[in-house]
This record gives sequence, structure tokens and C-alpha cells, in this order.
Amino acid sequence: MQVTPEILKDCEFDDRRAQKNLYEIYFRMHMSLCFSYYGNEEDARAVLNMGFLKVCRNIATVNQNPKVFYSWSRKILVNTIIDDYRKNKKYLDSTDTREYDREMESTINSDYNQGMESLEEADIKKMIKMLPETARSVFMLYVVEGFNHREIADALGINEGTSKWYLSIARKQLRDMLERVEEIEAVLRKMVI
Amino acid sequence: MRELNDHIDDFARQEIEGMTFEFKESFWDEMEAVINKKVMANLYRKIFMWSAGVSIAIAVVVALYVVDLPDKQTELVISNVTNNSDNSTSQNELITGSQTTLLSRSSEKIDTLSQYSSVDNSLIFGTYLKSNDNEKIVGNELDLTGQSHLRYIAGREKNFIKRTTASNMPFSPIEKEQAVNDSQLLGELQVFTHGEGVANEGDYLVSRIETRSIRKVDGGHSGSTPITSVNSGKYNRLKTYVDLIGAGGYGMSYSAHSTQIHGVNGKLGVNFNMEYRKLLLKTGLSFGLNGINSLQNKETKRVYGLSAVDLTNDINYNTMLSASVPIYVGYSGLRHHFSVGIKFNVLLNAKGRVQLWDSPTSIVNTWGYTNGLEKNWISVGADYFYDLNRRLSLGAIIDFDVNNRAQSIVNGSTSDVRMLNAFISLKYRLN
Repeated sequence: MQVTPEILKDCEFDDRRAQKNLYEIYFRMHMSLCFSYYGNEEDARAVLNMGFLKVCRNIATVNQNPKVFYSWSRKILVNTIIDDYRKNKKYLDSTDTREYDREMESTINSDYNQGMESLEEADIKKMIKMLPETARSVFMLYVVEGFNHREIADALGINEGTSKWYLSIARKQLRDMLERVEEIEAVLRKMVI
Repeated sequence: MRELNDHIDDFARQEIEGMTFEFKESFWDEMEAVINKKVMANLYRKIFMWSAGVSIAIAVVVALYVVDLPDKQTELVISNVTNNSDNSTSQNELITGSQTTLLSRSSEKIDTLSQYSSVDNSLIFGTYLKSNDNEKIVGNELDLTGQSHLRYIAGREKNFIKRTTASNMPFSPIEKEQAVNDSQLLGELQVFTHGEGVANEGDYLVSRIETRSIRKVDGGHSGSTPITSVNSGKYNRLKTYVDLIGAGGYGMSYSAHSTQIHGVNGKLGVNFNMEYRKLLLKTGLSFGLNGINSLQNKETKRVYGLSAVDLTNDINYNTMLSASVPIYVGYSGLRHHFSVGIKFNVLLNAKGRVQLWDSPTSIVNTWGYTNGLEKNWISVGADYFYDLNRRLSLGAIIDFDVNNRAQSIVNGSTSDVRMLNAFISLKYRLN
């Protein structure tokens, strides 16, 4: 299904069927982005819905131009995610470090069986889920959205240095996880041989 | 290391883009519930805002109506009715007297004095105005025989000079001296004072006085006519008046971001004022034009445009029409008036929030976009006026938005844009 000027126009007049169609398109377009920031489907869908509300409210802005809908709605969504992050920053500040330590410990101490399970589902979803919240947001903004550290610092209300530190943490952890997956793959290959 | 990082980044980017999620109908049901909730919330908010606005308007109209009721006609009633019988001519009966009624309340900002005295068997009742220098008092006097004649009285406080000629001549030093003497004669004089302010000569007849003579002579002679009853009603100190107001000024935004709104403003309106002693209560309705002539990002110098899609009429920075309803309280002195309060504002020629959008390309740069100008907003304000004369006042008005006038999204973070407006204003008093 594609975004059409008709769908956008109908959405402007609160046509529910058009809104449903647009939501389905929007879901397929951006759910992966939301998941990347939140690491779980429930939170990802909640923020996706918040973003869709803003899209509905401002749908006239795109002037029925489907070509800009993707980038425009994505921008709204990223802004919504950043707002949500800032809203929950106080909570995250206190839990982030503990979360990170716990996840790292879990990654390092994972036994063979866990490794097998990880390998079977060794997709990016698992890895992203294991990243600490702030590190994940910084990584996503830097790598996927193309923000620089000054912009990330402005958006998340942190220092530029902190942003760099979180990025290195995220990369290191992803690298560790990838290496572990490769190790497990090697062990499995030997067993097969 | 750099290569390794690039590899990790590329891997993550590709994998994230490649992630797929299955869409379920239940997801839309959840979303629809959220939309419905939002729609209802907006509806309730609109109902509340309109109800509050209408209630305030009704309250103001009722208050003004009640204050202006003509029940002040019986503020002051002096009755003088004597049944004076002469024993020698017992068949004859003399009834003489009069009833004087103050029919209309005094105008505001004018000193009025009412007096009565039984000196020399004469009862004087009238209303008088102080002149600017507080030296001269011009008034209309009546005596209770039913004859009305104009007198000029000069003096300060109770020291009046009585002049029985209808002359506009200024008072001579001798007449002023006479006032001192007269004040002794008028020792029994009682003065009712209410209101204060500045009056101009010629404005002296602020109260309409009706005297009804009661005279029934059936022989005999008239004796002295002592006052038999004086009913003095309580003077009403509550004053109401209406001002026409025009103002021109400049407004600029305050925002955590660099996004800046600024522009020249103009407005015309009407204010309904109520004064009780020095306390001033003010409401009204004013219409403002323009309000914003530029919305600019100070760093990029990029000027945002207005989208007309969501608007009733074509709109640009020069045709933005707003209406404001202030509710102010303050101090009202002789010439200086100061008030503070809140103001409810609505953008008239917009269906809803006015969308701002520089160009579709902005969505891919890091500056994001600005959500738009709000249709409704509230501001706090203060004003000061100085009376140039009885009708015209010059003043300054300042107001600041309480909630956001616009919302700025820059570099992914959101900030409310609030405006500070300053005006120079002229006010013309209608009544």
C-alpha cells in the first residue's frame, strides 16, 4: 500500500478509513525505527502512536505531497522520541547505569545454551534491546539519523563529551555481541564437522 | 578502529532498515481509541473555553446592567412637610413644604457636594462641583419653597460664598473673605461628599434634581418651616464607564531556541470599567491586526512562511486578526490608573493552529520545523494610563504569553515560543 494524495486529503478531514490505511503504511515505515530506540515492541508502538497523532494533527502541512510524507513523518517521529526521552530523562539517569551493568554482565556470563538461543535469534532486535537506553538513543541518532554530537547533546540535554562516550559504549557493546555470535558460530561449525 | 566502527555502523544501519514487524488489526484499534480520546479531549476543551468565555461575557453584561440600574434615583430624599395650624384661625390650615429627590446619580470623577441648611428659614439643597484648583465650586441650588435658582458658591470644604446672581464672574477677594464669615453662618451646614476628581466649569449640573412643591394654603399665614425629615440614602460609589482604546506597538518572542517571532502590532478595542473607590475592574474586547510579521531562525536567517491549508481565509503575516478579552484589576487614582490581569486571545481568521513550514527540504536538514501558531493562547499583562483630560488618556500596555504562542522544534528538541508585546495606547472615555 502506498501513500496517495487522496489518503492524505481524506485524513485531513478525519476520515477514519483513510487514517487506518495511513496508519498501516506508517506502521510498516517506522516501527523498526521506534523499536530501535526502545528495544521492545510495546514501548515502540506507544511512541509510534504518539507520533501518528501528531501526523494526523499536522497532516495539512505536507500539502498532499506523498513524496515528502516519509521524511516528514519520520522527522516528527524522531522528535517525538526525543521528547519522550527528555520527559523520562530523570528516570533514565538513575536506571541507565544499572541497566547497562546488568546487561553487560548478562552478555558476558551467558552460557553456551544462551549463546545457542542468541544465535538462533541473532538478529539486530536482540542486540539493540541489550543496549542501555541512552547509549541506544545516541547510537541511533548518530548512526541512523545522521546527527552530530553537538546536535545530539542539544536534543538529549547532555554534554557533547557524554554523547561521544555513550556512542563508544554502544559500539563496544555491539562489537562484543557480534564477536560472541561469531565465536558461537565457530563452535557450531566445528560440532557439525 | 575507524574501519571497525564504520563496519558496526553499517551493519546496524542495514539491519535496522531491514527489520520487519507484522501489522495487526488490534494495533489500529488501539490507535483509534487514542484518536477518539484526543478528539473528545479537544471537544471538551473547546466546550470549556467557550463556556468560560460566554459566562464571563454574561457576567460582565449583567454586572454592568445591575450597576446602571436607575434605582439610584432615590439616593437622597429630603422631605419637608409641615402641618402648621394657627390656633386663632383654627379653621384655616397651612400645609407647605416640598420634596426634593435626587433623580440621577452623580457622574464619576467629579466632586459633588450636597448641602442643606435651615439657616434663615431657608433650606438649600444642591449639587456642586469642585473646580480644578479646588477653590471654586459651581453649583445648582434649590430652596424648598419650590423655587430654583442658580447660585455660584466658592470656597474650600465648608467655607462657601453664596452668590445669588447667575454670574460667571470670578470671585473677588472680598467674596472669598465673605466665605469665611458665611461659614460661621453656615455652621449647621452639612455636606455630603462623594466621588472625587476633576471637573470643568460648565459641567456643573451632574445630578438632576426634581423638586415637588407641596403648598396648600387655606387661609392663615405661613410660619417657620423646620425640616421635619431628611432621608439620606447611601451614595453609590460604584462607577462604570466605557473606553475606546487604540494601541500600536511591537512584539517579539522569547524562546529557548533561536527561533524568533517579531513584528509590529496594532489593536482597537473597547473596555468596560468598574470602579469602586480606588479599585478598578476592567474587561473588554479588542481586535488586533498583524501580530507577527516575521518568524525567523536567527542563526540560519531562514524566514518561515505560513501555510494557508488549515485556514479559513488566505492568511499572511499582515492579515492575522486576533481578538482578546482582558480581565484586569487595578488601582484608579485621580489621574493615574494602573491595572494587571490576564487576557484570553484567539486567532480569528484561522480554523485551527496555523501551520508554519519553510519548505519540504527543511525536513531533511537538522533544523526541523516549527509546528505552528496556536489558535488560542493566554497572556498576562499590565497597563498604565495617565488622564490628559477628562476624556483622553495616554498609556502603556505590556503583555506576555503564558502558554506557547508557537512551538519551535529545532535540532529535534521542542521549545515553546512566547511573545512579549509592548504598546503605546490612547484611550477615549465615552461616558
